[in-house]
Amino acid sequence: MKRERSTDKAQIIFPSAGLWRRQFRLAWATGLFLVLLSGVAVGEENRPPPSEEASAVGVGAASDDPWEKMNRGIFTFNEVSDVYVLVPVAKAWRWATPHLLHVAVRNVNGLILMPTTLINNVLQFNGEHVMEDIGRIMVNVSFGLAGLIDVATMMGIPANDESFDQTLGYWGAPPGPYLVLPLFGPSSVRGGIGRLGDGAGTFYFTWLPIWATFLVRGVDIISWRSDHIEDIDLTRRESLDYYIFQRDAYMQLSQARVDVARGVAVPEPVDDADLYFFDDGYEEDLNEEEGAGSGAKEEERGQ
Amino acid sequence: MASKNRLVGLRPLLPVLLFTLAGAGLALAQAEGGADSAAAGPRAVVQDTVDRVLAVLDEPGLAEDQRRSRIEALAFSVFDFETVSRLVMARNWKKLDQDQRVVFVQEFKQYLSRNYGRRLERYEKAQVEVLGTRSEPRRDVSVLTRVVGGQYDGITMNYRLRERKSSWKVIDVVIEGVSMLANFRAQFAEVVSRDGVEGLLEAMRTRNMAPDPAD
Repeated sequence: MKRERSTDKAQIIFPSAGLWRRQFRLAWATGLFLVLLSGVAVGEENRPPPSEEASAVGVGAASDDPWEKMNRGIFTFNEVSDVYVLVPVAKAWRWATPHLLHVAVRNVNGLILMPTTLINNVLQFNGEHVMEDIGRIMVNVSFGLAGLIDVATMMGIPANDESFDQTLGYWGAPPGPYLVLPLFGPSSVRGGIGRLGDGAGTFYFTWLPIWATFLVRGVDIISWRSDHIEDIDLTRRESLDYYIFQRDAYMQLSQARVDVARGVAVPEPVDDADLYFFDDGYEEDLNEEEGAGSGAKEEERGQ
Repeated sequence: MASKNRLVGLRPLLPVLLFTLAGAGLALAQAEGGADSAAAGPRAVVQDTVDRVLAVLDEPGLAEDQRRSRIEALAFSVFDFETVSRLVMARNWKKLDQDQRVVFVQEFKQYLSRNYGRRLERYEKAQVEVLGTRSEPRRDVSVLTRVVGGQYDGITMNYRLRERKSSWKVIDVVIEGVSMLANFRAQFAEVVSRDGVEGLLEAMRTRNMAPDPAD
């Protein structure tokens, strides 16, 4: 699903590349269809301003969810898959895997995904990060014994993490509507396309048979999930609406990552003014209060 | 962006994680005590908060519920719950009558503290570095911090503070650009539009009264 890119050369040498290529085309066709469907690529400026109700929600981008019904359906499917398949497997993994092996797996997976980050840093013209990424790959492949040991981090080389979604945003593409992908979870139209683009970063997966690709990716997912069983369970349990939680957090984060790529040192929350100064008489109350110099109680305020 | 969660395939789940971190962030912000915050500037407030929370976490031989209640107490003193309640409800604030407002602030306070007190126990190894401050519109101040060490090494966490009654209180925690306030606002608006304000209060009450699952 994720490693769709194949080169013609890989085609010739490795028969299984053909399948990837077909999937790649299919995936791109789907992506294009979605873009057309949403009209984001062409009609961003022409879209109507957010309604009163939408701006009451505060975050314009996140409340823009025309496919909510479909998204919630896929969300439910993903939740069920997570709870009944991924989490039990992740628990088994945690139980069965010695800590050192777990760390080694994490390190190797970090290295495997590194070219994706490198390519995106090139596309974002971030010279400093590019050097860091190249350094990291070289050090960890050699001294780190093919990625088993994260020597680069010990040497103080930061582990960058960039995506094609971010790169597209850097180039000015809007995220488009929120989109929940089956199994892959929260995304947007741009995020979905970005995901396909990121597949190019692990082009060498096309040299492997498909089962090996699934194995490597599967182990990565399981090992990652095993690190976050309690965190995610807690969030899921305590959220008032976990779907909305994910949607809002995803859209905000995606925007923040674009801000970072553009050199905004500290990303701002979306819709700043409205978020922090909602006009409900609060300002007047505040002034009154300060003028009176007394601790007005909640029930005495705002009629 | 030097996030340590190197997960191209799993990136969509990252927000969830980061938000989890908000727990740590909040809780860290929470540690600010009421007593000496009156004169302290925003930066000092956050720094002091961080120190106090870390002290509670480091204290040996403290029972789990003691630890929690201390952290909750810190939370109560560092947040401006009334302001946060208004901002988080936004337009819906007007739908609450006087009694409901009191109940809302009460439940929300409980909800936040509980939500994040639970998480905090998991972040003992992390330290927090205060990087600086930034002036925001209309006299708010953001204190910029970064997590050092632990699982979430390198994550940025910004606390937005507002001065009221001459003390600086936290009104938002922004983790890697994700505003907790905005996230709650979106969730609350959804619940209100679906189940009304009573439904929202009920939902918070249910969460607050639920026993901790043994995990």
